[in-house]
Amino acid sequence: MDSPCAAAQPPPTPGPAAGRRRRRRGASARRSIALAGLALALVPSLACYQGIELGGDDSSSTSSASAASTASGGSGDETSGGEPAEAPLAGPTGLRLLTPTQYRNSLIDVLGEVAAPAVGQWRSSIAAAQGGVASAGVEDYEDAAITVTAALFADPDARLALTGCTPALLPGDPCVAQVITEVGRRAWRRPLSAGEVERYVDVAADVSEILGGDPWGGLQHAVAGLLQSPNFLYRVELGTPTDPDDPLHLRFDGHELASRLSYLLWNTTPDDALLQAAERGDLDDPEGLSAEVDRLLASPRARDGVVQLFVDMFDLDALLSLQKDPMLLPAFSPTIGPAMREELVRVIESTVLVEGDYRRLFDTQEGFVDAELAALYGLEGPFDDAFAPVMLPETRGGLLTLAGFLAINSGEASTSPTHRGLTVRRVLMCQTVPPPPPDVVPKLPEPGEGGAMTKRELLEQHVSDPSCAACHAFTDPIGLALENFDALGGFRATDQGLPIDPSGDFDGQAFADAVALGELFAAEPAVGDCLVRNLYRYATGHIEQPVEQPVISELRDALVESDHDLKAAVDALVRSEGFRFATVSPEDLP
Amino acid sequence: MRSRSIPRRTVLRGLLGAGSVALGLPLLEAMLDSHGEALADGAPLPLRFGVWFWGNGTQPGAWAPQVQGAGWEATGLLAGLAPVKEHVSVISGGNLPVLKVRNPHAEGAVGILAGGNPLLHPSYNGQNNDWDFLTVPSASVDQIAADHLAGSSPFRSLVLAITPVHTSDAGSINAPGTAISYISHPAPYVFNPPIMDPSELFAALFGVITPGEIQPAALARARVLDAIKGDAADLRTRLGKNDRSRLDQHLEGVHELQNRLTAMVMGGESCVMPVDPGNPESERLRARAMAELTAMAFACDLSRVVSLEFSSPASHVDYPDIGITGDGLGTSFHEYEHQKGYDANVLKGLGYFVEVFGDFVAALGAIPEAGGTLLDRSCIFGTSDVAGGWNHAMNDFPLLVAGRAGGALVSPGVHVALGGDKATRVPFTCLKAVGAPVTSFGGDQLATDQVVAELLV
Repeated sequence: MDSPCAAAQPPPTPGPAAGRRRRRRGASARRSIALAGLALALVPSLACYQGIELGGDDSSSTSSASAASTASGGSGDETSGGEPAEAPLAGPTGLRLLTPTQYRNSLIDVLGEVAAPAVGQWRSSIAAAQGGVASAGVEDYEDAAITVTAALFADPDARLALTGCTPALLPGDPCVAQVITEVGRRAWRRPLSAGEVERYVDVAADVSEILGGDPWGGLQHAVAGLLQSPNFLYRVELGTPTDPDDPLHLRFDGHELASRLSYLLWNTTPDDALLQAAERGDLDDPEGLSAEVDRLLASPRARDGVVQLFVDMFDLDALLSLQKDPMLLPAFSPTIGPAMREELVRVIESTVLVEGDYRRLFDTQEGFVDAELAALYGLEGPFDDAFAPVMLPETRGGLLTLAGFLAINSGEASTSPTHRGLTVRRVLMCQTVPPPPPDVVPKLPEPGEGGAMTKRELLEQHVSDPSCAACHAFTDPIGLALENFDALGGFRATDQGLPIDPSGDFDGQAFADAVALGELFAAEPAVGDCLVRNLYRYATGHIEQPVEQPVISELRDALVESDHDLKAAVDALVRSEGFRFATVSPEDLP
Repeated sequence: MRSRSIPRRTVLRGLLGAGSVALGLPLLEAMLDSHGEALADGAPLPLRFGVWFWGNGTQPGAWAPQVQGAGWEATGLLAGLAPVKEHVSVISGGNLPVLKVRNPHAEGAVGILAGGNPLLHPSYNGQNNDWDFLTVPSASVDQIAADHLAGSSPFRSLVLAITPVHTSDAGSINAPGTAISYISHPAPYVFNPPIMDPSELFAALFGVITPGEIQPAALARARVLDAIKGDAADLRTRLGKNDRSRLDQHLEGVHELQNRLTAMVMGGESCVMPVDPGNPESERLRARAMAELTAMAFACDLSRVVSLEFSSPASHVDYPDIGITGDGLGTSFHEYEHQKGYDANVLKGLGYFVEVFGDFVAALGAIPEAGGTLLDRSCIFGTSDVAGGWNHAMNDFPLLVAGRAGGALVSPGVHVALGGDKATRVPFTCLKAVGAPVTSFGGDQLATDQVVAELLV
């Protein structure tokens, strides 16, 4: 069934080099399918935005709702030991596969500096909490563990640095058990039981024999085994019943909390100090957790760790395989996408972590450029391969105007204001825009007989159809404000030779251009609400359920009261019941 | 696209006996019995199963040949089948009654390959596109076949793709779906990532050959996996239902790998060491290289099941071999077809998909086995995600069956008109033809327990 309703699609574009799509892989292909399905159609009487239908609360059902409204509370009844008096405000838990980045980071922290590959099929926090491993994945893990440990154990100095002793595998030799105990504790994020140590001592002994009497080879294989175990590949944060007679309500023990904390803030396995804190019982109460948050956030390792939240949220890894039409966008090169990612990471670090105010991400005048990005931005001066902080041109300010954000939310050749607006609504504001009905076939708008038209003109002609107007009125003004930036993020004053009008209206507030829109965005409560929602999802690996809404409200209040300091929201998060407890669905009981 | 290092395993080590190996020499004649009709240990020659999939369907209405039965004419969209016509049956008039509540390409692919409606991940909240949240409700047909056929073959199934799948991994933020990208699923939220480079497939199958005894290195690795199984058994007792099935799936992979590390491979009369084909630039040559390696894997009994994804559901790629690229044609076959409908370029593409399927059939037909060819002991099911990509039609679904499945399927191939009956009867028939002990296929409105009798002897 066809529909007159279509998104602002790029018209057919002439001239890219044959075969360029052959190089397109992964995320850039995802971009194209995303663009292809953006037709929006609704019955005319329906407003587009319906609020968050699942797992939503009232805090962002209208974008101008007061973010400072009082939270409904929920953990005020705690006893002094941190136990909730009522059922905890917490969601489900389960095995969470390491993401490829977590796998690589953890392998290095367990073994020392090794050439560790990033293995795994599930990149995001939520996907890794549900996704499974097929046989090819098992193979990849096995191959990586054997290869990495073989290289390590082939180096006499490196292996001795790991083990601290020379294995003999004679009766009473303590070395192998000692290495398995110590490496196992780091790899599994908890002490091994005596039976588990014995299991791997046996592996070492048997393999040594298989290899013709090779104690080092035996120990290497035992270590490789620890790194293929589900106790390493999955974060085993299962919780323990708070009441032995009630299997539905769980609390996490100190080691599980150490794991949650470490992957949240450093995106890797817990360090020795954190494991010791768990063993001392320091993490069993919110104050102890909070103290570790301070320690972890003060470390340089927090930079990449915390930025990973935004890599997930904004899908920044799509920039690593950015693909654009080099005929139409000659500034494109295979290196410019990764450079854009690096700029975004540095801007996030500068605003969110250093300045400590999430709102600044949307109106900062600071950018970071290497020579390639400087050329794209039209900045003059000596630039080279190193990234330097710069004042952005006056046409830019904040995330919405940075090349990386603009480029991943565009087609390969042409911009789509609808797509950019949708991303802003969905990803940055956590608002719901209904997907097109399944029968809608996206059709490109054809420029009229009169000749060239801007995207605004095409869209205005298009949304005169009332069945399309509701959703497009919700998404398009934001995207049209960004029309001064082409599909690669370069500035342009005209489209099809016609002047671009970037002014518009954002939820009742008029703005003149993209920079002014960014300033409105910085003051928009829904933006902070959405950040803490994403923080909670990232930390817990699931979309919040209705019972967890009070926790989200606590995080939001902490953010607002701290002038939008993510660190305050993180502190509130780790103290919250949602982080320390879990609730089991009765249907999932074995 | 997955990119993994070449395993340093020794899959064929049991295959060679003593002595050295020269490329292209027959390996294992001695391992067949004197009649060439069974493996040397007396086991009957295995049957094989394949899925060959392309995205964006065909042109409903124009799919069916005029003539039913063995006299069907390989013309129009089916012209590319002319060289292999006697080995192929064409099924027309099969309908896939999907619910039409989700992305149609995911609904169709899940419907025809898993016989059910896509599962929507509970985290879906309308803030993203639903296709990133869809997976199968149960195993796909190739994995059901593998349950029955794989036995001790070192590779439970070969999972291959030719053109870029929609995503390099399914793990975008909040996006745990698999169905828009992958076609081989052992379970919900678990997909077999395809090998996309023929050279990589070659390395996995034939990479390192060590004559003689099982190598200590392989035994050592297999011994490590015992401990993994022990850990998993301990962990399992603490898990809820959902995680138990996830862990069980993981353990199946551990079992398969352990089998591979310790297996003695029994090859067949045509088992020879192939040459590394490299990674051809042309997608059709890549598909042919994959077909030839698959045929040799079958001939050597390295695997008995294949899933080949020529293009992902929706066909969101270009086909430069036939000139369908970004040049002036929009941004992919998918988008181009939506814009132009069944114009000459689209029809060329739809015929091309069938023709490349024919290449696959021909590759199996070129390898002798037991007085016939590999094709005589295979059932290869060719299909797509929709009947028509332009409007997401689900009636007159493209359905092809190649091979004789050891005599279970008719020869020569026929044209069968299903007259609007369920398309899922065809994959069910292919499962029955290779002897899978199933009494039905699929669930809900797509379930069937009816074979297509005209396809069977």
